[in-house]
Amino acid sequence: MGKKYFRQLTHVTSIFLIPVIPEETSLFQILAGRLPSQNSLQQEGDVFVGGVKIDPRDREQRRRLAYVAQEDALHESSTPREALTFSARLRLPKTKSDDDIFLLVQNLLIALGMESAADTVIGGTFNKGISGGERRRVSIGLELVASPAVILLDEPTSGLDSYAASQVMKLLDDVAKAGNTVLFTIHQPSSKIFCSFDRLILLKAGQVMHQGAVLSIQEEFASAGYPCPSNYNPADWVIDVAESNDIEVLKKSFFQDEPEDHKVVVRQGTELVIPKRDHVSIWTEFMLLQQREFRDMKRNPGLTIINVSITAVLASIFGVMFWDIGRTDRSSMVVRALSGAGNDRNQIMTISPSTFDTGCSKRARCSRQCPHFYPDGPEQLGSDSF
Amino acid sequence: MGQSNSAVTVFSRDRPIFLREYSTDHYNIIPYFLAKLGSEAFNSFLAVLAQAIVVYWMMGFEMGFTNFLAITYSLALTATAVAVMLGACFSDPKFATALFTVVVIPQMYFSGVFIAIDLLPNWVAWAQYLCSLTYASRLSFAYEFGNCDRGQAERSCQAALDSNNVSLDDTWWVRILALPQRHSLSTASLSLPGISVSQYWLALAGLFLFYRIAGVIILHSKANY
Repeated sequence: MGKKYFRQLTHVTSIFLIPVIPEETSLFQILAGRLPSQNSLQQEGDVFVGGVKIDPRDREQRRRLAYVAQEDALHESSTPREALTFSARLRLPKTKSDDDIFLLVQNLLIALGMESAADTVIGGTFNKGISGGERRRVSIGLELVASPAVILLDEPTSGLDSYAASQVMKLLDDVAKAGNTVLFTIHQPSSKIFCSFDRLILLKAGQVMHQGAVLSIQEEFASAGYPCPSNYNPADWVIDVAESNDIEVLKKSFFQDEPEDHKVVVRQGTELVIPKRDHVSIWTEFMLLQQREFRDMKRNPGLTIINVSITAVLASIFGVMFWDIGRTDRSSMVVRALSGAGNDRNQIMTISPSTFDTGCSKRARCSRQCPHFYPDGPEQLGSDSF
Repeated sequence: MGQSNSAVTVFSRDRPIFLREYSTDHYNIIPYFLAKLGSEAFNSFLAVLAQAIVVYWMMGFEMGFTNFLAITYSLALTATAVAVMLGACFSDPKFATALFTVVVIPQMYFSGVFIAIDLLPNWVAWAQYLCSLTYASRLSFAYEFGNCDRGQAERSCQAALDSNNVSLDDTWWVRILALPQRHSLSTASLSLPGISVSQYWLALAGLFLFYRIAGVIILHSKANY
């Protein structure tokens, strides 16, 4: 699967659109070497970059490929500046000085349009921080830190309002103009966003249905017998045509063989040149991680405070139960045999019911799925049975 | 073991971030694991300290405060190691939390605190050696009752120790390792100022290392999408 598409992708340094069907997530996961290993998916075929075969599952080889997943996985209690600095320090060669990294992050924040939110905590489901669009831009920024040659994004605009979406798109446009290959999947682009793309690859049923420049797409669809109605978003029309027609009918005008100039000559025997990593020391890695952990604790002291208070409360209950038992005469050993181990039992009793966790995660899921209807209503009812 | 509850989900909670960063070569698995251990150790220490301050004077322990603190803290870290190891097996925090009970409760059962080891069938009694609570409770017995006054008190203390399988003599492993002996076998008197229970400390340290290393290995094997 991988080979078929990738040899086209390597040729163009600009923006793509790949709508329709859930396969595109899998395609991107293969290209980025992130295919879930748990389920029994079989991966066949090769991935080529510039005619050289690479294995994206190899951590070294995929360093020039960046992948931005649909869900943001950001450290919630860091600020965008801290997150970018963390990523830059750990991924850039150790010869870069801290000043260089500071400047690089500063420039990146400007490029991301994040100067004003640079020192606001990112936040997550419960503690609010920066907006969803800003979070997505931070996710993209974290990949740009390593200046990848190819950047793959899985639905970068999903879940964003039109303004935030257009900001993300503008960022990607800048990245593409700077000479990087930007590939992404998208489902419902507005006509304005759609027109800013350079190239489009339309997939249906795992095959390329159509590909070409976005500017000429309306003419090409018209000549194939599907003229776009006036005042209609061409992106919607393209998807309409792909979805509402049978694949056999579409095969008459689409699913053409690839143009000759897309076929990459496979250069046998050449290895992809990957610059040496020159990574910071393990000790630096540890210090940065530890620093982040403690920053997290400092910004969210709640968990620590609850933990300590629960322990103290239970300890005092226990202390009352076995009040002064150690100071009594050592001949009353019947009770005594238990008291020594007493403090250990006390610790076991601090197990809190797992309902706590279930409730919280259900809430998180619900507030994502049904923000307007049942803030945490019906799903919460279900979890009462725990 | 109170610390285990949050520790069991420590990796699964962070998993999306960890996977993103690990797969993009931010760091090695060991610094990551150690950093998590660092914050866990800090949190545990606060909780154990609070508990020790409250319990120690309320119950009036005979052993020194630092001994008490050291035993409970080592127990917390070792017991949490099991939870962390288990937590590393599951990507979903809910599974990890559910399994938590299954890990912690047997530790209590097999340690001899809940039921005397002698009463357990032979073929399950070995499980006590995998439980940190076994060693921690023996340590606390030893420090609490190992230094009683002569006479009746000493006899009752010895009885308490015997009934809990606590040995105050660590010479057997010293001999095995051919280390210089600190106490001769003949002076196995309880009233010695120094109590040698280093075998229990060693066992705790061994369990700590065993479970933590297993945790690293599991985390490493799970560190792909």
